Amino acid sequence: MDIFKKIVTGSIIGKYITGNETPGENARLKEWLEEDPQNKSLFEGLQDDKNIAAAINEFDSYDKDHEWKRHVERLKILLLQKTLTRWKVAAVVFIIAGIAGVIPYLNVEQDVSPVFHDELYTTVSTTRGQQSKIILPDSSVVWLNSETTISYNSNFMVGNRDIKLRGQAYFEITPNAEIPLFVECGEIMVKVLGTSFDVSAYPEDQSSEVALKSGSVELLHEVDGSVSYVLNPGEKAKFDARNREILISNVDINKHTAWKDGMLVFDDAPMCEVLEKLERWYNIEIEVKDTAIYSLVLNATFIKEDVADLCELLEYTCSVGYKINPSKDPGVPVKVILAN
Amino acid sequence: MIGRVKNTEIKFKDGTKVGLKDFFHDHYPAFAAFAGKFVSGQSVCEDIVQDVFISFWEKRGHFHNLIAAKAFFYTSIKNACLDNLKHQQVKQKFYELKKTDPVLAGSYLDEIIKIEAHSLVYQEINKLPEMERKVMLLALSEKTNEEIANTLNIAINTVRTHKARAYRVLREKLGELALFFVFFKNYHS
Repeated sequence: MDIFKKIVTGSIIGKYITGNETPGENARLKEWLEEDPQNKSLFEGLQDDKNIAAAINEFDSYDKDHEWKRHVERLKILLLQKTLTRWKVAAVVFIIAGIAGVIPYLNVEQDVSPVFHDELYTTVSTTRGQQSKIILPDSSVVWLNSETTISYNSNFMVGNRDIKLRGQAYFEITPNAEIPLFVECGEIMVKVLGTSFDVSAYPEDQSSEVALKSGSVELLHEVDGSVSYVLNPGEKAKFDARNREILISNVDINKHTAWKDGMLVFDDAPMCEVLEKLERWYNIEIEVKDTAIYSLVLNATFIKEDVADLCELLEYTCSVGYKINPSKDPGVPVKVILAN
Repeated sequence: MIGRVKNTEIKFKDGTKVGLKDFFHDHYPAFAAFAGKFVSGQSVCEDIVQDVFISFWEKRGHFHNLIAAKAFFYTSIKNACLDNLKHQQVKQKFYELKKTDPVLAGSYLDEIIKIEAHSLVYQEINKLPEMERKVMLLALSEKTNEEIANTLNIAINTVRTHKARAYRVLREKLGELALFFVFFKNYHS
């Protein structure tokens, strides 16, 4: 194996240059130097100060810390994709078993035990422009952002702690190892033992997001409950419903959950996202006359200003003009028109 | 679990093991530089080595030892580089040349010796404090003490101290190397 020999020879020379070779390696090096006169000139070239400096400067030109982070991200995505593929297989088996169960004499017994049964539900909703805070029967606290619905069944705390969520909510969950809490939001499910985290899952949005403040939560697949990812504090998982990808990124969790304290914080946020959130937050309709506005990004914190203050702030930070009109939609009283 | 990717250990069949993060930090720059012997453009090299690290991860249970893992890297990087050249169609010339020219065909093996040797020196130099490392690199580039002092904005005496400390990483050239060659000649005759 030629290549093995080259690797060993190279590392022995490296050890020799740094004075770390063993007597055995020293002997092997001498043998190698004898083999071929070319080896000697190669060996001398490698010891040359300028060549060493040039090689190390070349190595240094690569940002290994940055590349390591990139590699870790790629590995995480790779692992998630593998998990998703396994789920697809599981889903197929599930459907076939379901059909088989219809034929009585096959007597296929199903023990599917879905997490959500048809029982009495308690439902709490907020409308646009409204935020609310509720306390669950297990004394966990949930902050609801605008246009959010949360429901839990009558057995909450008896046999389960299952919650359904549409919209955005921030949870501070009372620890209970015996009855883990599940939040079901569209295609992903979050399993919690006791922790603080934020879930954003509006049905009209293309993606759902889960951001973790402290403790740990597991993201599960909705079909079979298999674990896909264990979220670390400060991480945000974004699940894209269209291509079924989960992206993990680091976020400033205090900014991300500032809405529960009555603040809207935008950090280099694209304008289309900003306007969507402002519409929900203020219960207004925003019409954009100049599409150039969409190419802006915004850094701002809004602390429950009224609509006029909001518009002035937008005018100042993004240099856009505005007009406030009454809206035709009775549910949304104000319409803001933005133009450059 | 998946969330623990960063702390993964690679276990070799001979019972030894290495942390993925340490392995990456020790070898990534050398592998990228190796790719640079075949293709040009830093980002091209980075992407090639990243891809090989991914396939290394997928095959991580199959390597007998560290040397086998490195052999996998060098071979895969070389192949990926040749593929890349093929796509750029520069390859035609290079590849025909390579096939007919046994020296060029084998030359990548000598590159492995060079990269391996300097990679080891690199890992030793990385153990130095930052300023000593800087002084040493400039000294190795044959800069005078005055030039180093000016470049790094430190006193000449400080340069001398750092240099004296840093050079302990390398074999003392005049002493031992001379002895080595004397010994080598005697051994020969």
